[in-house]
Amino acid sequence: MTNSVKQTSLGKKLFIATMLIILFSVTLVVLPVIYLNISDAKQSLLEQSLVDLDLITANSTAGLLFDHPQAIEELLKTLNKAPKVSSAHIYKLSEFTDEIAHYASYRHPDSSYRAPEAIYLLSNEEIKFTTDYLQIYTPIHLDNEVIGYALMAVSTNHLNKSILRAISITAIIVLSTLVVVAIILKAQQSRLLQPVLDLTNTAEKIINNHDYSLRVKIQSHDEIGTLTQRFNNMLDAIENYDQIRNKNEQVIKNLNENLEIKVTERTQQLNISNQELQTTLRELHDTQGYLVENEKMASLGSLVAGVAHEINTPLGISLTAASHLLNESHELQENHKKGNLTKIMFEQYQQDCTESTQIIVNNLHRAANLVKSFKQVSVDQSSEEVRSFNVKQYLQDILLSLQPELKQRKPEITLEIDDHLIISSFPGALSQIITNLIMNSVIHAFHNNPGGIINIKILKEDHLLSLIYTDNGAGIDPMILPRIFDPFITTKRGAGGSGLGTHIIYNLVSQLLGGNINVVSKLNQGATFTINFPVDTPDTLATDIPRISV
Amino acid sequence: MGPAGKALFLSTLCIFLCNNLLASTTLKPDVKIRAAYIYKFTKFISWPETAFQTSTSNFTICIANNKDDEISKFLKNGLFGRYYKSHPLIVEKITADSIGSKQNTLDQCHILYITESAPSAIIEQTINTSPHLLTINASNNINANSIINFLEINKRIIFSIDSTQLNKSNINISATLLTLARNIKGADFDK
Repeated sequence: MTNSVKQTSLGKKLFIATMLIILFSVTLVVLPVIYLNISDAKQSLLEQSLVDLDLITANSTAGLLFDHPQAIEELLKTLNKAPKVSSAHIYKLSEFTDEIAHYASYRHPDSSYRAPEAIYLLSNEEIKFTTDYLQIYTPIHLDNEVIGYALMAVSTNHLNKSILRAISITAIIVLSTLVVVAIILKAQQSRLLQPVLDLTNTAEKIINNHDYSLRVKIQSHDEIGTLTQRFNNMLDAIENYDQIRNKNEQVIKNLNENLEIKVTERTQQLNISNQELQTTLRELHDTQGYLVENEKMASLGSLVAGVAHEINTPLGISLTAASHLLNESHELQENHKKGNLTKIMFEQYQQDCTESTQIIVNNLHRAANLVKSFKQVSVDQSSEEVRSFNVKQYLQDILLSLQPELKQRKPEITLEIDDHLIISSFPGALSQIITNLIMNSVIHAFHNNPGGIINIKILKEDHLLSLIYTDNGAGIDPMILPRIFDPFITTKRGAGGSGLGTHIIYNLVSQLLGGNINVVSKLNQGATFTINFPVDTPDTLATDIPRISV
Repeated sequence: MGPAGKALFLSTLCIFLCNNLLASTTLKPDVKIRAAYIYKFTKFISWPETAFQTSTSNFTICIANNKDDEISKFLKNGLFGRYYKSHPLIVEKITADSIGSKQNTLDQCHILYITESAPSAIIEQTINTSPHLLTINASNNINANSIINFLEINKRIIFSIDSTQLNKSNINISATLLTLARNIKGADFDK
């Protein structure tokens, strides 16, 4: 039903459009012709009437001048030869009063024209077309003087009939043209629209049935034929795509059916892998913690070795002095028992006793100070507490604790630190950072170059502490420089290096101290570590810091 | 006619009328009509240029009358300032005395109006009149060989034209004037 309505609508549109175009075109051609014909007819009537009027006026002068109305009326009677002239009137202008008076007339027997009042002639136009008449009038001159007026009314019935006939003929021609065109259109419409209808019907079938194997028969070799060909080509392509789509849908369907199984399998595999990864990660963390702990214990071991070594000397001296004092005391007691004790001997003993005691006291003081210092460092290394301390003194204590490690390479370590710089921070972290940096320099940088130079420079600006550690050693291999702070990065694997030293430094700086660290190094030109981290300046605590002397 | 021309025409007409108002009290009505006709004939009759010595020489209307007539006075007053083409209209009265004092009196005339009291010599002269002279008989009672003759029928002045005399002259009368003529004498009228 809808299809039928659409077809009718298209046909109607074509029909109406064509008829309107034809009507417009014919009207456009005919209207100017009618207009020109009417204008020509009017002009012709006017010209003929003016000729008649001129003849009348020219021949009326003598009659007017010699006051001979009969002669003028005789003259006017000649107008009965002109059937279009309905009426003619001559008016005389009085020489003395300037009044216009009717003088002579002619009226066609069939005329119903009523001549206007004489005064009308002075006030109205000379040529006037009314519905039924052409009315013209003209003054009658004699030697440039107006002696009267001539008025003539010409019937326009003939003109009107001509116009009406022209319009009627034109209308008949237009209507006939439209009828002929309509008949031709109707005859051609079904033939012209049939291919379009076939296209529409086929499209409807395809939409309803999804049957893309349908094709439209090509009935003509014009634009519609081309459209049909393209439509069929499009159907070829759609059918092809449809087949591919069906295949793909089948493949997708099959894939979907297997997908769940595959997902389950992959999920199980992923879970297993995930568990393995978690286990590995946990083991890795354990290993890392173990290694870090080992590193810490090794550090503490080094500290203990340093303590033992440093304390051994004063204790040995004290022991020697005490042994000497003991021998001297035994010898004095023997001589006293024997009665051989002389004044000289006693005085010698007193002197030895004083000297030995002095040696013992001095060395025991030194040992006590060392113990205090080592104790502080070891406590700091094993705890993560914030306290205020003098930076330079603390670094000196650290260096002291490292003496046993430094004995072999004997690097020259210089400190560029303000003697009075006191900060509030994590001394244990700082101790471990400095220890690791120095041990890295000793083990790696000065491995083939004993007697290197290490410079530690610490500056404080506002609340930011900058620690610049420089050595003139072998430098860092460019291959590992970008990963220097990664865990287990070492060039001494299997030779004592754990690969955790710089990683521990990085973690302490970035996590505990809240700062940052970077390194610049060229092979054989040493390395420079720059560490920046925020610190507080506890002015009030500065005086409470215990002074530890080495 | 423009406003200035109209004003001039009206003023002239006023003078014409005013000058004749006094005379009109005693003037016969037909005298005025005849005078007007004589003047109006100049509008429908053409004279050859050879009838004038120069382009501005006078157009002379001669009134042949031995008596103290009214028409010559009326015309003299009325035609003052009027022209035939570029020729001023003047009126000359011809009496027996004037004929005696002047030779070829009629040669100067372009229109000769012959009254009943015209000198007989004038009437005789019309036999050998000038070819450019329009002769007008005042009535049928005059035996002059005139081109135009006034008639009075039922107290109405009309005129006739003698085509024989007209053919002898060099003047032309327009067809419209001919149609107004009461009758046209002469079988050989061919102008």
